Amino acid sequence: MKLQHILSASCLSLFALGASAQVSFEPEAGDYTGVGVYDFWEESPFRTGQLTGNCAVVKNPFLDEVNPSDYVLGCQRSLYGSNLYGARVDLAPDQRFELTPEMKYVHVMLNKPVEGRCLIIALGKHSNDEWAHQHTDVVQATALAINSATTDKWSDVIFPIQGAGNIDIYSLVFVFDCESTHRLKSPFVAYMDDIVVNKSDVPRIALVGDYPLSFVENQKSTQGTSRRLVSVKTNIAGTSTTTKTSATTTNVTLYTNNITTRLAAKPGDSFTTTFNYSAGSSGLNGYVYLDRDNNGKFSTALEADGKPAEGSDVMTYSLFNGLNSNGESVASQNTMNPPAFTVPADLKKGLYRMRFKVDRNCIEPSGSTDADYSIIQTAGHIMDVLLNVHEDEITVLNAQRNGEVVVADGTTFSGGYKHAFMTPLRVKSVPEKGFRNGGIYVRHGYNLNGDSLVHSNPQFVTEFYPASKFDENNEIEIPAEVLDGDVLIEGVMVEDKDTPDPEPSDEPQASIPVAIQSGWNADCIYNGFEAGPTARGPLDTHGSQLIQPYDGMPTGYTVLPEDLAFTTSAGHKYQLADGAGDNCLVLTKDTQYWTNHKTATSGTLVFANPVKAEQLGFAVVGANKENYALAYKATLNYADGTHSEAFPLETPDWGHVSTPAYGVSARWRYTYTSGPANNEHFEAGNYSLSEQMVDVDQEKAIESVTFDYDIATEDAWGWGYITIFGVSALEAVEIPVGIIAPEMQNSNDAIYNLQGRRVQNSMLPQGIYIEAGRKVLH
Amino acid sequence: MAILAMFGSLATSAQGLTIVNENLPNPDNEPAKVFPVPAPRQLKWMQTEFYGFFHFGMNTFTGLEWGNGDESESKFAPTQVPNPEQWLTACKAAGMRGGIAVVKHHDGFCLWPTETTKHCVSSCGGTNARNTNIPRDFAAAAQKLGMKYGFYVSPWDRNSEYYGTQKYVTDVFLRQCSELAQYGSDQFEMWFDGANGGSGYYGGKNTTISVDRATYYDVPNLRDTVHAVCPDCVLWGVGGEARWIGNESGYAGVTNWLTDNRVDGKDQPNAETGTEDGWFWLPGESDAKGTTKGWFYHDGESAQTAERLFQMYLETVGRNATLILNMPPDKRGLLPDHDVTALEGMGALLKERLGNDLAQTAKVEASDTRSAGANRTFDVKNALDGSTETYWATNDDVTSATITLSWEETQNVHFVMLQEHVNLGQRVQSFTIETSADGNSWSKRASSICTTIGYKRIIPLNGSTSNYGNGYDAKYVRITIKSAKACPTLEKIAVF
Repeated sequence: MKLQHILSASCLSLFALGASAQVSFEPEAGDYTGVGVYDFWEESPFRTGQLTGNCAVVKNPFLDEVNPSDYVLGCQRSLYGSNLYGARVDLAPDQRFELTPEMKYVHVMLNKPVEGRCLIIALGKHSNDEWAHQHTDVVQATALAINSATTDKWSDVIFPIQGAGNIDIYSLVFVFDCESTHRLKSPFVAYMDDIVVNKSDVPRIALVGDYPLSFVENQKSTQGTSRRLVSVKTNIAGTSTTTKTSATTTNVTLYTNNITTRLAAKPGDSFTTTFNYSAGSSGLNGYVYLDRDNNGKFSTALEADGKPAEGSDVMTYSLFNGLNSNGESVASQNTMNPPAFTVPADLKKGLYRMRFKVDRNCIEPSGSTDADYSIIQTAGHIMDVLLNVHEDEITVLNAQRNGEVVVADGTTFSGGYKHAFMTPLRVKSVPEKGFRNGGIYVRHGYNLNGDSLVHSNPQFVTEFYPASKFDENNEIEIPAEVLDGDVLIEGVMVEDKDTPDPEPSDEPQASIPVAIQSGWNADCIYNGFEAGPTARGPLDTHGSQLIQPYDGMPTGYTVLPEDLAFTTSAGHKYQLADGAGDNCLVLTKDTQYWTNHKTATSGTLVFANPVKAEQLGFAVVGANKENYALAYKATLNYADGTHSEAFPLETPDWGHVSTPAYGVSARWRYTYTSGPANNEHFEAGNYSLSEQMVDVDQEKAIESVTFDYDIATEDAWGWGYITIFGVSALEAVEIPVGIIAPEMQNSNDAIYNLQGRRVQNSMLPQGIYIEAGRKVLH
Repeated sequence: MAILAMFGSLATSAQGLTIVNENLPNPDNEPAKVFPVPAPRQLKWMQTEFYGFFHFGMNTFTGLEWGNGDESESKFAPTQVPNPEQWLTACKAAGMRGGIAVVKHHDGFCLWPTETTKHCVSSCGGTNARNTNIPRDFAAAAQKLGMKYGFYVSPWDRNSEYYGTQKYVTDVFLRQCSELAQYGSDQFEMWFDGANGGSGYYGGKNTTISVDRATYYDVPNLRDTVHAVCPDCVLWGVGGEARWIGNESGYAGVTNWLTDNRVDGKDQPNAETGTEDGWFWLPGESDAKGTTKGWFYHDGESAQTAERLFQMYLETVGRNATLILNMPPDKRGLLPDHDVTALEGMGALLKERLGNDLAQTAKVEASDTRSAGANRTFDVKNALDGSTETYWATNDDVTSATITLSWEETQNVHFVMLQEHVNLGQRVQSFTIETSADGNSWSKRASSICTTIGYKRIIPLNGSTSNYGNGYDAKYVRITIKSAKACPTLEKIAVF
């Protein structure tokens, strides 16, 4: 049975039509003449005959609604094959196709248990008579897949292939694991099915699951870096919020999962949406959806006049089939911002999935799969957030033993305490005799006693406030942003003992020396240490350090003003080491030069002791001279020899100030919202930085950080700088984890339940408890 | 030709494919390969290391770098029959192991009597011109001198009326390559310039023609055609078997991987450095001018100094790339005297500075040595025996190790040279080199440039490729492999 492609009729896909080849592995299909293994490596044991490989058509072990085929091709990944080893399919004569200059796309449904690149090898021969002698398995094309396979799921992996023309393809080799085998411990099997060769780069995704997309979640744009959705601005009853997407100029994603962002609204509120798209005449339109019944789908019912039907999940759109959601005629395809709408009056309080989409003339919330204007081809974008539908007041409940938590004025929470939405609340911990305050958990959101996820939408978040955050009266103010829904407060009461909790130290955290290694154009002087490019020295506790003066500044570079400082929204300050005026570390090439190809340079900061990501902080700006894109990145070099790109850096074009520059941090990414007014230097004053969490491995030890830049375009004049204003690497601070209790309380005499609460020894019902750090059955 | 297992029947038992046990004995305990690894022709190509480039042709007589294609054949008028033996003899004195001769540049004029176009030596007026056959004479000279040889043939042809059409590819370009392949099955490289069209004569059209070089030249079938006759010929550049190093200034990246994510018909995105996890073995070649003006001969030019040429060598061959150094013959068809002198000077510097391997008299110890196999050992002494078949390696779980060389007498050391056994893939990510006078107190040398090794790294211990310096007096040299993708291998260690 051929794959059933579940696509909306309103977004036609041409991939099944006009296919150059289609191969199914069903017994009656007759689309192939043979299957086997192939290795590009000339000295492979699979070429010498020492091994024959394991590849066969088998019953589909992963039959599901995405791939309901009865039979698929299975191929064993051999430990003895190269990184260009894969499954070979010899096409039946009527499935062979011509390789032409016009790009074709080979689609294959792939299910494999490991991550890794995929690559295709197309084998064939020239079709002209004078090439009659040529064998049919000459490598005619090789290409990496343009998308990734999701492990343990059927994915439509796509390969672009082209050639000079008059080339007939006889066989296709799917290298489903284009990685070196030297680390592979054991073989595995990958399955392939339903090969289609056509002109569409749109994945065939059966739209199942919650809030599906018509592309893989990690899909990158194929349209370069100039087209991307930067942010979405909403105005809800007068409150304006800008939510950034994950698409940057160095990583243009098509999907942003922002469901940790909650936009607050009440039923009946006016809601206005403004899309900030990087290209002016994008040819794209804007759509907003709301899953009103929380069923994991966005229904798209429209009336004949274009207005959303009763109960539809379409809130507003700017253009579909010539109309907008007000039923008005829209003449211009370049209409992106949709009309304002009203939050449905019948919505109950709770969290609802909201989707913002820019797409071309397509009402489907998953994104257009049109053959010429798919959401991938037009560099559209989908961003999901949660809409927090609330009332004017929230309800606060509490639960604990061995004491209680009350409002600071003594009011109890029993029966439900009403409190104004998004306003701070001061509470007090009142332990029973023999116990003391161990902090409070605050769970906030909705469905607090139910599943934490409903259709993958998180329903609530639990915060913890340790005892050290309380004042001498055992009081603490819960911040306003936590009081954004129903609230459950649970006090942690621990047995009181003579030894007090350790007080937080007033001493500044010790810092870790940093060595400057390679690539830096500076004889560095910092904190009084005069040193060469590879010297070491301590950082101050503000974390701002490094250096200069530097003789021989690149042309046009001017010193920084004395009072230049960066302050983040979380209150972290990065300021120049001593305000002497020219304190920064500059990474640059020696001189400007013409290059008609990319060039790069890099510099490394080495820490005296490996640090973890949470200890690191940076404030960095990358910049370039001239009007060419420079790519900057910071790479974390781990102590185990591995590396990961921490975060790409945006650069301002100092010749044409248009793109904001980014600072970088192991914890946050900064954007400065006011760029330099003039070319090539910063004006005095503060630059405000907004922060955004960056997903960095928090556990691995980092030995050093390497900053790289290169000129990304050909035929470019240019040079660039990375300027570091501050680096901090702080000594680790011990944070108690696991059972939340001060360390000295975790003694042999203390017994805790699995929620971390100390319990009286004499009153234990049957169950599992923690004693001296071990689980014990009582 | 790949040998396949053909399973036409369906597995009717349990669902899915049953994993079968595959076992290849490894009696010699060889390390597993870190893929990709070089094809045999690519390995031989890398071993050429340093070779000459000879731009001679119509432009020699017009003074242009890119001829327009409308030059009359009569303009090609060497005052004597060109003498490739003189070119290669001079280059051999510089330490080169081969050469590439330009036989057709963008102007389309062919330096051999081709059947594909009249715009070739056969149509010239002068006797010397008509008797010119560069591929024939160049091949003969190289074979006589025991040097490798190959040809540059420009895919872009500004003379051909067919350029831009399929006919050009099938009836002109591929046939020209096929003719050139007949001049010797032992060619080591064919050079395909990356130019992808532009303005030109084009048989009188005088227009601009652009092509998509990713597909136009039918590179896969070009490779198949050439390899059928010249199995060891690496197709450079557009040919997709070796990459351009990304500049024409005579340097490679300090960090330089021999692998990249190849895209057919295009310059590679990380030309100077390669890509650590690139899926294709694509070593870099650096093309640089040995003279001060253009690629072709120009009156008034001079040669680069021997020191400058030595610097280029350190920054290319010494950084895991090959160096193709251009020396343009003049209108006589000979290398000018100043080029010959410069090449001799370079050869002298190479002999003087990299000719006496102090490691041969050192005691050498390694902190880890791979367990021996039935017929092979991995002792560190293998890295000093001059054989490309033997190498030092660590055990599988060891990716960091130290090798210490020591001498009874103090040595004055300038360079350390290292070569991985790249048959097994490139592995080393970073290393350090230290020297010591007493074995207790150590000084790290050139630490900012000790990153990758690959086929060959030559580390100037003072960190400078332009300043030979005074060297360091040491009785000990310690090399520490700090990190590697798998157990490191070293085929050669040398100290100069």
